Amino acid sequence: MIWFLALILFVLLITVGGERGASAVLALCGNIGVLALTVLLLASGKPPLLIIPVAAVLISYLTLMKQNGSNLKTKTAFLTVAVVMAVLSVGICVGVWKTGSAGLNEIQAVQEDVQFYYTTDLVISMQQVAVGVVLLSALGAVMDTALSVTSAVYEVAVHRKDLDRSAYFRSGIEVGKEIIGTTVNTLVFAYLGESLMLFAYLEKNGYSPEMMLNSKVLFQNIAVMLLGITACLLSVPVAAYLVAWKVGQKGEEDK
Amino acid sequence: MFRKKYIFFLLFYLALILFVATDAWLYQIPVARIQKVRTEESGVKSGARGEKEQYYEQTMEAKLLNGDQKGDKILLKNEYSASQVINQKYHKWDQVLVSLNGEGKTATIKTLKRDVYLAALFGLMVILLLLITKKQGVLTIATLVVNLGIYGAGFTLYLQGKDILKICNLMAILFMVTTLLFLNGFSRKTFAAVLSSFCVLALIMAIFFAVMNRVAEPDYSAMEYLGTIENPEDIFAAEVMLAGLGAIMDVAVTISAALSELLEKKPDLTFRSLFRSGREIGYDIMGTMISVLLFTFGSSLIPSFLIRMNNEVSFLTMVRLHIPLEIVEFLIESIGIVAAIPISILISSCLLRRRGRRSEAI
Repeated sequence: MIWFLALILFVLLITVGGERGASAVLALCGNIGVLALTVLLLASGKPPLLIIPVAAVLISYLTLMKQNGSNLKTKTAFLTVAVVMAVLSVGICVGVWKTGSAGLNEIQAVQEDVQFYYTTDLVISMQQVAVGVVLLSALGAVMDTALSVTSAVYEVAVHRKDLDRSAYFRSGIEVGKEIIGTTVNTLVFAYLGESLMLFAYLEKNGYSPEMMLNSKVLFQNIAVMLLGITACLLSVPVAAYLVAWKVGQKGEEDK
Repeated sequence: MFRKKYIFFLLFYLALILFVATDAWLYQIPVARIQKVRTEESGVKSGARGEKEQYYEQTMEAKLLNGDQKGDKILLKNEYSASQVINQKYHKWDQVLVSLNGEGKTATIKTLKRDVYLAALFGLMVILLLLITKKQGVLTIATLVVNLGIYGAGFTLYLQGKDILKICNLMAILFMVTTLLFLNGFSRKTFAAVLSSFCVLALIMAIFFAVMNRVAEPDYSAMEYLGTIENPEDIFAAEVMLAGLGAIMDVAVTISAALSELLEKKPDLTFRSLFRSGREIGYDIMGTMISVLLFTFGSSLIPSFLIRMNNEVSFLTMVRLHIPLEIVEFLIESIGIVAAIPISILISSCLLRRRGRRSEAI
């Protein structure tokens, strides 16, 4: 069943996208490979706060530079992702520590195999893992936003070489405004689907609304979604500022 | 003028957090604030991979914040491991929901009070949205509120025992119409985007049901949330339908907006050159949209992988037995994204070009 669907996707990507569809397939496989390797290393007890940032850098490199070519646009987008993620990870560390939302949530913890047969003494810091999970799940959307902003401003700069940095910055913000609306929707619906099962489960197991509101499982899901949106929002001004600065610099050199 | 508005937002945000932090009086369940914590090492157990897991015991003094015993001191106990896989550490000033034991001198912690943090995060997102996208931000929030309303209504109907798939069909259509109307305004290109999203959704659900019925039924009991629900197939189908909707609408709206922009500048464009530009735009968003979905789905599976792989379940067994539905969902959504490109080009260029011809005739 999975192979059949994968085949459909592969054929569609190639027929619709042609050569660039093929490179999208490669990037997709590369990303899945990096994710799998990350899981393997984490499971063998390597420190999560070392492994996950390295994985994030590798994924950004693959998606931005390998898939879309190494140029001013992708390099600036890469820098944006790095800055946003570094700033955000400090906040996420504090948040995870404060909200006790790491580890298995109420539903995962009462699965039969986990509850009765498995040891839960993993000797892996689940708090660090939780920080990594939030960063990784926001990564795709942040790369998308950053690249859209930097390539749009770059296009503007190609056609209008006479503008100054603040004008480039403003056009970057304008583009960001246009895409944020749909990005927010993409993320909201991606999590809304899953939450349907979650609420059905909690309701079935007699959770009161108060317990639901404060449960770890609800917090984990909503926090990941809200932080993903926040990361995208932050990346708009950062990307606009960085690309305006780079484009301006290049313009001065050309003179 | 603008400054004043932001200070007002900030004050409102702080007031909201303050309100939620002191809303214990709204709760039926006893709420207590931890005032003193004593943490001691309580022992070492042998953990995974032959390593040692340190355990700690916490003895806490807390004050009840609501109910008949408001103001009383109670004693709480908690044990946690260094990894904090299924337990957690509590800190001074944490508020917890508890159930009182016996005469009400001791209590068991049910869960941490997390509503404050939810409110703080939500407020932060709203403020950033308004700060960065200004007027569009208001529209985005309005879309969000309306969609949550639709979702809530749908879920209530489901709880009343209505068929989940019928509700979801209705919800999906309402979501598409409201979201695209809010994003794009009332125009022909909105109509094109709605129609394209609808066609793509119908297509991927057809593929989904065809594949699911033809191949052996997957084992729902191994799935994370589905294992204990009565009708897992229906809930899963509903989830697949909703999860990809955002991404499909994103593609549809991007293409229809771009093509209508093109036609406005050059109304005499041929179908072929329209198709070519549409494809060009499609390429640009296709790869990144799929990776957005990959990371939202993939990273949430990490904790579940970690616990099983440290209990002699191999990586491949995990993939084969525990996450096939997640993989199916991801593949279906990705197919939706890619299929949305030619479908929206076709529909938008038919609908939008006709308008061009008509205005020429006048």
